[in-house]
Amino acid sequence: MIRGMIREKYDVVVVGGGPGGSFTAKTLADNGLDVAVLEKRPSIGSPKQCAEGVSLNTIKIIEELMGEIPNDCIAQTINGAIVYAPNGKEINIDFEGDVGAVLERKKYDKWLAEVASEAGAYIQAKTEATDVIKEDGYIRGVRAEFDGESFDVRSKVVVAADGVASTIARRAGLDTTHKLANIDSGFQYEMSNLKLRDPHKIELRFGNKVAPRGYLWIFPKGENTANVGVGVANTKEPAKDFVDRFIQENSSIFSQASIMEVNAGGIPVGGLLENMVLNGLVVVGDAAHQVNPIHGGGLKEAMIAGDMAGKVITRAIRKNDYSQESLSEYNKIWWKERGESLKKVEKFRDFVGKLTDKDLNKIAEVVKGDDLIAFTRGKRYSVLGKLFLRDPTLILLLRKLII
Amino acid sequence: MALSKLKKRRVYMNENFEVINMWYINRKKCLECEACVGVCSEIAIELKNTGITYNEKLCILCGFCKKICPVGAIEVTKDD
Repeated sequence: MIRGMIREKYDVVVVGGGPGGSFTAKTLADNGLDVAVLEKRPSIGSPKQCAEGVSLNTIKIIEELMGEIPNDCIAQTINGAIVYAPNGKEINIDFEGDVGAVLERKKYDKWLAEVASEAGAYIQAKTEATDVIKEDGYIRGVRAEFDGESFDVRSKVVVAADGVASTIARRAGLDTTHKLANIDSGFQYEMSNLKLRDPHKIELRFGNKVAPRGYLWIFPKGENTANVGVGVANTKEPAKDFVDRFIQENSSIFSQASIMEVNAGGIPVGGLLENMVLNGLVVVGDAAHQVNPIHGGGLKEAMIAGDMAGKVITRAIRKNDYSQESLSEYNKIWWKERGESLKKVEKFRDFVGKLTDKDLNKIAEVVKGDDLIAFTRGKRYSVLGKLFLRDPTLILLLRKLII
Repeated sequence: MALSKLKKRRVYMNENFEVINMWYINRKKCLECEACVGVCSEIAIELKNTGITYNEKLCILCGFCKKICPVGAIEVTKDD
């Protein structure tokens, strides 16, 4: 039979071989469960749909769960940021030490899958789960396809880690369709031979002209290479046009640059789900809208949720109860550990979305790099207090928080 | 009814466009990123190994796929 080495039955089938799928599979395999991961694309980790930036905190969690990250999975270390207001004013943020990194997802995603496979998970690329198998109100596996041949893969639980498209959860009966208000359009070039300001600083640009309702990023991957992209919403032109225009208008950076890769994708920025489980189904990662609403990063959320899902599913299978009620322990844990704080970030996103270019320019006049550093280190109220003392009219902006 | 609907169902291909009903995709622009799949409430669009597929029977012509497409590969026309 031409269908790879996949068998007909597993404890768990994971749909999607990205970080969400690999973290879930590794946790399940570590607990002795029989798990298969189906990845529809021919290659794990490619093409990337990601700006590849992670914080040091995220790296710590990755290493706790998966082990030391191989060097080739990290493209560049990052020690700060340059933030540009709409009028071009710069705020330089230098942490004087590494605060994050830009990954090489082609290597990183494969490494995660290798670790999961070494823990005992079976992973098969170019294998698409085309539908769920539903019997007696339970999801009992998936219908899959490899090399044109269709077959069933049965399981006690199916994990939907199939990314933004999220078709498996929807076919199972959970409406995870992204509302336009909760998803940005993302477009990016990976470029070489750039004239970067600082190869260890990320650049963030805000403003209605450069990136409506989002931001434009330059995330260095080397001395002269970087991911250059935008996340935007509610625009007449496609996201691509914003990147192209930025390149045209910044020959100081791009006059000698080349394009190595063209990437695109939908970036969930909200729409957190109260319920992410059904009888025999758990949804993880972008498919479950688990993304930070303000910066659009999903790598951290996918791995935390994958680990949680793995543990909850293990308990459910051991007590032979993988009903929605049993699996809803995942909802409870996720909301307590992640959801509540992401909900606050979503409110903050709504507030920031109301700020005009004029408001942002005003804030940029008053905020200094050190303020942002102190803010990220938890000194929130003292920083805000300092800002309001420098410019009391900033208080007027708070109206927008309420309206 | 029949004749006016028949007039709309033009199916032709030039080197860039495949036209189905009132939904168009420029396959040379499409990066197969699946943003369109994610916003389609009817799962009328999917990414299979042959590329983006479109099921005109399921499509309600809401235009969300066109709005989200990061490269502007999709056109949805509603002219009657």
